[in-house]
Amino acid sequence: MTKCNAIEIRESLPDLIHAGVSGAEAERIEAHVAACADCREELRVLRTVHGAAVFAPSIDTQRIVMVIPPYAGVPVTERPSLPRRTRTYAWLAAATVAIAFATVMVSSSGDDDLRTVPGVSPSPVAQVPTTPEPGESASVVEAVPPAIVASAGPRPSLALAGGLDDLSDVSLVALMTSMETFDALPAAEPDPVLTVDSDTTDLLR
Amino acid sequence: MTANPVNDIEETDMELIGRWKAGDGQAATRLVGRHSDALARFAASSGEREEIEELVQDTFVRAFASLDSFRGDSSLRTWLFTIERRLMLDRRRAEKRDRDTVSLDEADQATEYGALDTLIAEEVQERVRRALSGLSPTQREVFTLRVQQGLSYKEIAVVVDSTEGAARVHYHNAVQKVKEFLKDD
Repeated sequence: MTKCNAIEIRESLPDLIHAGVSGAEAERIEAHVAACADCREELRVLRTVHGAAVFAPSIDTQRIVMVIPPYAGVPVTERPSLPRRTRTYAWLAAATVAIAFATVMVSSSGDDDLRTVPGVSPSPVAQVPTTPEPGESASVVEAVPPAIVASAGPRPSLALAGGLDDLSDVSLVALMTSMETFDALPAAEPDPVLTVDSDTTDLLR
Repeated sequence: MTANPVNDIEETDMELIGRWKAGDGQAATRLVGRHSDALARFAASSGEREEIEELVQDTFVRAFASLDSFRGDSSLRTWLFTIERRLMLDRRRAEKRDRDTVSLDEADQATEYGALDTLIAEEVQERVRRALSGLSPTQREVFTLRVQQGLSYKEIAVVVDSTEGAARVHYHNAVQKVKEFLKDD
């Protein structure tokens, strides 16, 4: 173990090897080393390590230089700013994109407000008989909620603007008929409910 | 392939960088020649065994591609060591499972650079290699940069992304281990 406590000197010993110190500082370190066996030993070890530097393969510098691309950058501080007119156009383009995006988002949120029944084809609704059934006036047929008529477009779902109570009997029949044509319906079966009898309650206690 | 030492003294790294930016390709040659051997030694001392020249090349390519970000707060060599160390860490992470590095005490070390074997004082070399292999990766980097490259603790802290105080501690611990190893060996 090293006994010398001259930490500063010991930290500077590699500088003696690399001539990193000079003048009075070098003389001070060398004087200490001359008088301190521990530091002499440490300096000897450091010289050994330095002299036995791990050999690395020779480097072909020309090969490296060949793959270095020529300088193409412009320092940031000297980078020319865009002309004023170009900047104006850039702002206009950005504003146009933002407005278009906002329009799309508003349209989408408006559609989401309509309650939809997934998988309902609009075609059955479009085939609602326009001929009133016996005893039913023509005005009833015309009372089909406009949202249903609107949903007969390309959108592949049935949109209801109101509840089922708002539908006329004819519309309700049409809706029921169309529901029978579903290939599959989401499981609406309620989960089984465990009945808790008095014995189970006792166990839980 | 080393640059003319007279010109090296006359021109600083910053001056050469300025010349290269102005289109002088010879300036790049001078910079590469000035620092490539040190980078290769640092890589080898850090445990890299294979494709050291590729590592040095990648270091220079990255450095030249981002020279505008080099402000000269540290020396160019310190900055290059920093880039090279990051590349080594990336390489080790990528090859973590089957990496073929660091084991400085492997039996085939002495035959790695066959053409240079005759130049190596093998006995001392091997002892030093074994001593270095007993250090932690950070201790080895700090010790190598201090003893073999002559960097200051402040520069070492930049390279290993640590503090100057931590670099001093790593150095002292490394010196103790190396001394004990070489004394007991």
